[in-house]
Amino acid sequence: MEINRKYNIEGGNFADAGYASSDIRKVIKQLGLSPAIIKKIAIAVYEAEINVVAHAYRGVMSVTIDRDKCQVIVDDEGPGIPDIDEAMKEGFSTASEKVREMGFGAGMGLPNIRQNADDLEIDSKVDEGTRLKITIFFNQTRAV
Amino acid sequence: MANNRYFHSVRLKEDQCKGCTHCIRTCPTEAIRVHDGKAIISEERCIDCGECIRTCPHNAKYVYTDPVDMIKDYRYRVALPAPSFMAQFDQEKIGIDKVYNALNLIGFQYIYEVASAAAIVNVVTEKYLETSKKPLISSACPAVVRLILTKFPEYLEYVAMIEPPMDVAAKISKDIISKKLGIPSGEIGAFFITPCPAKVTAVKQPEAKDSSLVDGVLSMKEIYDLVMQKTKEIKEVKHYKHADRAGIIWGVHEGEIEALETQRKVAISGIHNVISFLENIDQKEFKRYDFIEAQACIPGCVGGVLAPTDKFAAKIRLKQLSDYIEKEDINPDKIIEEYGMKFFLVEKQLMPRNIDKLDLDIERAMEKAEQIEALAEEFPGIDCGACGCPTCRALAEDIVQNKATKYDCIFILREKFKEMNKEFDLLNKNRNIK
Repeated sequence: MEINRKYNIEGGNFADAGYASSDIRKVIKQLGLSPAIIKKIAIAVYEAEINVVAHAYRGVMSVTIDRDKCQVIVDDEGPGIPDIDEAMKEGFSTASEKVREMGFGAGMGLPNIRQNADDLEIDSKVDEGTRLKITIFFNQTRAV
Repeated sequence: MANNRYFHSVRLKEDQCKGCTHCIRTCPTEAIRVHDGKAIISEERCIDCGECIRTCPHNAKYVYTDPVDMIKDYRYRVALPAPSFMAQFDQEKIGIDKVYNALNLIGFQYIYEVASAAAIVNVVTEKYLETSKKPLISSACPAVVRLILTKFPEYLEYVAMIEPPMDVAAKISKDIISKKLGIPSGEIGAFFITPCPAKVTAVKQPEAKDSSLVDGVLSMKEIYDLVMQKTKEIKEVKHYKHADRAGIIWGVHEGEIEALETQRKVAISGIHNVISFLENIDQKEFKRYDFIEAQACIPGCVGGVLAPTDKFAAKIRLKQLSDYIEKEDINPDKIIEEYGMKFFLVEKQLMPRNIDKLDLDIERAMEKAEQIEALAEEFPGIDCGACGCPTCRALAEDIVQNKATKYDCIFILREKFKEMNKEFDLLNKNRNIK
């Protein structure tokens, strides 16, 4: 058994940002997962969604849930990440002044995702886009 | 339903219920369904906030409170008026001292203001914040605590494990009296005068502890009426000392956070506003706060369904009350030192109820989630309520949980009738050919 959900995310649309993560949160609550797992997924998915809104032109978030894990793949069309190691550092951000003024782009997005994900893969091509693959296991003993 | 796992103060007068579906839509936890023309409240989902009482046009919902007569069961009787009670009286006409004299006449030998305990809880909170996880979500409103237990278990770890002022008031007042008068604590009855149903539930079935020291919860409306009758008998007013503003102000929105030193604080009132806050707040914004006041009623406890006078007028009266009264001289720091911090904290964990869980088995829950998704597509999505469910989605959930059928939807039913009609026509045509 698998649950699949797909969300389109529009770059720059901060007003509607958070829809995908709030919908996912509703889905996982129906599965009776522990509050700790709900929180991990909610944060990781929210940050991934905001990343697209803040940095990319558009993106698609595909969420797959099975009995063991939640896997989130975010594909965006955008500027890409030139230096992934740099982007993983807390506080590093390439967000524009406009984005920062709105309270986003504090450079915590990727570090926050890494902190809450059990597995994180990032693939990025400059001027093309970024693919994030986030995995969160439900069995907490498997978490790092 | 039958085993009554949960106590509920919000109840239905079945003969007054017309099955109108007003309540099902305002219920914040989607706890009500209308079935066979009558409302049914789910005991797992209801958080006793009282929204349905506010909405019901036929007064078919009511609050169970203890009968005032029960105070006679105790040798010594303490009234614990909520701060919101103090806001019900126009100080120009009936001063709060006269109100308390009336409480004496009703049978209470001692009055301990919950506002006084609230002022202490303010200082307890300051101390608690020094080491606690932040932001701290206030545990003073029992409806909000139960909202988090049922719908937002992921926020449970932030809820303050601090005794609410009502319980602190019962504990301290019983201690004072048994020490002063040598009366055993078991013979002292402490009675909270409540503005809301949630506090009744908090006493009858407390969370994070086995029992409450509050012995009875009395309706503010009932006590208000009794006070109004008794004030006529009062010739000479005996004067009392009262809690100061920091405690009194707890009865209104933003009152709880007013005296807190931190500026990283926010207050939310209205159960639907609390839901939208918890649903929409992002982690960064959330982490920006040290303390979150969250109350089910607008504008705070004065808006409770058992508060007899207009809530906004009451709010203003409460804000101005401290200008009229003589303040007691208490030192919260000293009181906390005397009793120790543990006295002010609840001892047990909060246990999540997670009402959204579809099945104990995750595989089954996933199947059901997908079925709901597919079913919801079939319904018109206008949330008309004619099926007795608050939304089309809720109907889909009920169907998957075997609590309803597709044909409870009048639109689906109409389509079915059309189909059946066609079949009948065909049958008739066949006969004509013959």
